[in-house]
Amino acid sequence: MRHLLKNPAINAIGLGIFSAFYGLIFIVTSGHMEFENLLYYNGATTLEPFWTGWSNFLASGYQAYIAYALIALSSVVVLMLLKRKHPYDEYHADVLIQCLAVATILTLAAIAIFYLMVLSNTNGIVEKFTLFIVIHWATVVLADLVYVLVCRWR
Amino acid sequence: MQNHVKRLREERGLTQKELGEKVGVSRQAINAIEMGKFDPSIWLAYDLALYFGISIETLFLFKEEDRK
Repeated sequence: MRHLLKNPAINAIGLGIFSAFYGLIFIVTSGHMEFENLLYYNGATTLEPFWTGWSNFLASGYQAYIAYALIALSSVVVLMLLKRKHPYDEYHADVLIQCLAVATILTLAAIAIFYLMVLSNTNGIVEKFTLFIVIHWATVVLADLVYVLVCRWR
Repeated sequence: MQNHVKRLREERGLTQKELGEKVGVSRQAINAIEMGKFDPSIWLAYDLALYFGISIETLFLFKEEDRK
């Protein structure tokens, strides 16, 4: 496992696939009528202004901008990884494991929080799960960005 | 983990980068080892000990409270 983590290309491919997958979904669903119909709070007058606002944001197709921002950030990380001339050493692999551990802990915490939110109110599950994915995606990309910046200077 | 890497490196007039090149790791790795922030693998510890011509247990101070 550590052997794979030392190879910058493996990290670049992993992050590239991860961001391409979510980026494609976010861009395809942006402004898509069927996706809009799945949104529960869209145009609703509820006592939950946060979810109504988030739902309207998604219905307007603005999640594409989130995708563009995270794809751009991922591209910077991937370019920095691919530009690297030397493989990472065991210390760098240790730093990467720590960054991924932080991303994993935050994702696990987000799963628990969102599960409780869905249990307390099952309405708007698409809005809630989409927000969870945004947090998860951003956490992983930022963790990798921190890693490449910390390990930039050999 | 406490160790004598910094003292031995300085005695030989080497920079962290130069020592890193000799044992095949980055300057950051040597810096982290010297600061006690990073415990090297057994192979890196072996390479460092071999380079300095001493045993691993002389180079690194094995204290019971440092055991993970």
